[in-house]
Amino acid sequence: MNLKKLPLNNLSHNAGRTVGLAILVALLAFVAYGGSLVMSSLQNGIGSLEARLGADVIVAPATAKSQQDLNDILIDGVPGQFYMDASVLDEVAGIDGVEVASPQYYLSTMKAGCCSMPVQIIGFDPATDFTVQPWIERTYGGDLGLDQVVVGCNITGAPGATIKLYGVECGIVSKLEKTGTKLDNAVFATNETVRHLINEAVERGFPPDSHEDPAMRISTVQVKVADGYDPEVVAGEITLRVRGAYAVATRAMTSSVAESVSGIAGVIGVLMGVIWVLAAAVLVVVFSIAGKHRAKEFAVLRVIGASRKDLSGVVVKEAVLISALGAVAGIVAALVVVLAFNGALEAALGVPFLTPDIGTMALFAVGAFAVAMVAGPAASAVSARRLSKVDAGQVLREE
Amino acid sequence: MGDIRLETQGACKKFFRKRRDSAQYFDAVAPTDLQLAAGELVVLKGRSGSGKTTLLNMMAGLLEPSEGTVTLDGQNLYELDDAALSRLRNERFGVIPQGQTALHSLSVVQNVTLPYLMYRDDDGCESRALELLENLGIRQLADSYPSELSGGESRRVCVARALMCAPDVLFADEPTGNLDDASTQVVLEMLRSYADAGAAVLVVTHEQMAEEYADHVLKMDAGVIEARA
Repeated sequence: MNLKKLPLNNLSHNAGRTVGLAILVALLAFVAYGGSLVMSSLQNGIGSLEARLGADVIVAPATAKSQQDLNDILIDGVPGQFYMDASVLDEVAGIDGVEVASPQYYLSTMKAGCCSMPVQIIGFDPATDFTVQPWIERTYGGDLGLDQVVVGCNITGAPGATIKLYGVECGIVSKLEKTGTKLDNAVFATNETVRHLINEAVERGFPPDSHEDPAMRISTVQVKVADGYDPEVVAGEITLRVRGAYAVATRAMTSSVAESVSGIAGVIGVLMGVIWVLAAAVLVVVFSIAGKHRAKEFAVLRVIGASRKDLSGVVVKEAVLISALGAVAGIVAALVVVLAFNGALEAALGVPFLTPDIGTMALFAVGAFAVAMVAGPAASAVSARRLSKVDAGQVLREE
Repeated sequence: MGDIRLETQGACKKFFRKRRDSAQYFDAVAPTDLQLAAGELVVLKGRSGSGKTTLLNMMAGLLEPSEGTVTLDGQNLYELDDAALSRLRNERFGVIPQGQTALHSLSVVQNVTLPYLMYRDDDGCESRALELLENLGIRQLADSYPSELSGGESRRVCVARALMCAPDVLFADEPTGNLDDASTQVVLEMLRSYADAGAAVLVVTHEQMAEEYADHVLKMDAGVIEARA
């Protein structure tokens, strides 16, 4: 046993004190890491939603119900369907500032062979689509054929398996990456497949609740705005000029979600700050109290030849070891909570929630570890300074 | 151990004392000249609060005098920086403080070897520690922890710890407190034989029996060494 080994020995011999202090540091690390993960997931979620929507402007039927349904489908994940005349597509394409216009057809099913939940089927036109296919290309190289579908990551079934939709066995050719949005619950197919599903359902005698021929009717027009045009201005122009249609810039659609995310992030930030201040203050106090109780121990070390620097070293080394233990525990706990309750967090917060990739999570973990490793020794600094200046003679006389 | 000499020259200690109406310094130890020489065992007696422990702490390099000097072989201890003084304390001084001062997170044998291993490699020092514990009659407690010891056993651990580095000067502050007569005799005989081996030994004690082992007996009262008892 020497002074280098003494801190570890002190910690193991005073397990209660060690665990108590480690729990406080773990709380700091948990808050730092968990908060970072949640905030990052919220930011990723909103970014992912915007990216997945893909279009600059979405045109839907002008009725209020249609607008609500559009929001329900894309933002809240409630399956639905609404339609307008397919001629809207050409009218929209003719508006100044519209670079690409592509139709989509929404069909909802209350039951599918795959799922216990209602599924939103989104049909698209492969010739003009620019919102769905880029995502499909990332996971599946080929074109979608008849009765082939791509599913969101929350849909049961792996590539190669089939999913029964309106009685038709559709081959799953790919599963999309998680987006953290409600579109993770959607099934994507070409309009040709959607038409086949409807026809099969009608032939079998259980047609969809509300169905229209995708050749004649469409649900939305996805618009890509040409460079130099403001999507909101183009959306306004479409609404003004195309009868029966209402256009909305996706930026505006997601702004309410972004506001919610911003509000939640703010609350989390404040909570993080409050918990940090409280936990750090408690840590300083606990280190300080522990230091007072250990004055005699350090006086003895002085008596047998420890320098003031040695005494500081013992205190700081103990704090570093406690911090490392607490930081690892806090980070692991935060990781487990965020990953295990990912879905519950998304449901509770009511906004898109996409956990960052492993690299980013590792980076945050390193950051949280570093912060905790600074906080613990910093909190012990007052105690270390006081103990290093302990008047051995006076302390031992007071016994 | 060589022909060492520890001495104080006009060393005094003033403490600041705050009272209800005023604040003032008082002299815990008046200017004192005292020498400890190799091979001598000096017993310092006096009532509680007479300044014995303060003088011991000043001589042991633990408490800087307000005035005057403490020199070891001509070197003023308090001119050394903290690291050098700490090392000197470890290598040349052994201190048995008042009360129970064993470190609770270490076993008995670890308590005894700790001073040695602070500045030296582990060259089998445990056998020397066990020998010291044997001489003090607590060899069987080597692996026990201080919380398992009686007051007397704990005092003997501190004696062994102070002797571990074979110091040139040994300071013992009430070394026989909490000890029964038999154990008191064992400890005092050990201190005597240590002085006979060439060390300078200063014992602060109320123990009457200690005088039988002393070369010199000093009495202290109100911070002043009054006379050779």
